Amino acid sequence: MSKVSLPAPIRVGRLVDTLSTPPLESKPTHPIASPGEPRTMSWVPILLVWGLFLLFSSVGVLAAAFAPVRQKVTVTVGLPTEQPPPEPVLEIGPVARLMDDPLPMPREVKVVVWQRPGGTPATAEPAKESACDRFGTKIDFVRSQSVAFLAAQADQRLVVALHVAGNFEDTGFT
Amino acid sequence: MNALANDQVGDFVNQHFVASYKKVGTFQKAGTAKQGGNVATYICLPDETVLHVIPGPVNADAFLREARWAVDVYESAVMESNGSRQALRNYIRTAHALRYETEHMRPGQFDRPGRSGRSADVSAKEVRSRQVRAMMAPQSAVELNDRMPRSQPNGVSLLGQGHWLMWSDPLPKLGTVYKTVWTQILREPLTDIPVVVR
Repeated sequence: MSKVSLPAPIRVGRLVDTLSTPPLESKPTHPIASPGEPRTMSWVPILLVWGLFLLFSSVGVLAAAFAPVRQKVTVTVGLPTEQPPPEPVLEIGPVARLMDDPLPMPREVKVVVWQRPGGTPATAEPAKESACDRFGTKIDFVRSQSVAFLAAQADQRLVVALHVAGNFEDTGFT
Repeated sequence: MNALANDQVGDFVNQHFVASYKKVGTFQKAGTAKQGGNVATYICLPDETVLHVIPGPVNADAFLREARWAVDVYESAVMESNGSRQALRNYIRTAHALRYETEHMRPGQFDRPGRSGRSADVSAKEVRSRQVRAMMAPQSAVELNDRMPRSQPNGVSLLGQGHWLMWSDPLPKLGTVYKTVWTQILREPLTDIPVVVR
């Protein structure tokens, strides 16, 4: 056996009890929490209010921009002339807008419909230009029943509607 | 087709109406012989309500008489109704009842309330007699309506059935009444089948 003396045992329990813990880092991690600086939490409501104000004001501007604008429509029918009628003209009225109207909507629409000499306005032409045939009779027949009712509305006349068995266009099949 | 080829019919129709046609039925054709086939004429307002119907083929005189009567009655109804749609319907209804009673109700049923007429055409002399009586002693719409048959008069002429239909439901839409005229008065099937040639 050697006579080397052993080192003193480590007093574990005592060390834990008496261990002086170093002081926590007292430096603040966030400037708001800094006790020495002025508190910046008071800016949050201001920023919120300012943001809400901007939001509502932009919504109001958009609503005013898309609000319907009262328009005035003027239809003018030209007098019969010997000259060939010009093409129908669509004139858009003044487009100048006030500063409070952000969208350029026309306030007045003027539609000029020229009338042929001795005829009806050009707007009533589609119904009359539909094919009319007599099919061996003395009556001018419009080929479509729905077109006939439209033409009757335009001319303020009554309608004679024939319901037949067979092909009215072919006298052998009627 | 003969009525439509008449000059007077053509002039009157072209002056007062916009004419159109539509195929709603068919027939069979064996050589030159036709089996089946029919025609119904509707006199309508521009909003597709039917003022009068002429079921079946008629001659030029009958077509012209019915067309003129429809125009006259409509003009009178517009004046009398003063813008009221119900008054317009009532006027048209009474006019059809008067036409039915004076021209199509059989003699045995004439002046008898609530009975259905079941005879064919009334003679021209009888019609004139009834018309004179109606002019001399005009009757109220209630009295006329009370004498009208309550169900479709089967034995009456096609034109009489048309008057009865327009009395029972005045100013109907063309799309709702044409099936009744084609299938129940003319006894024809509604079909889109083309003409069958054998």
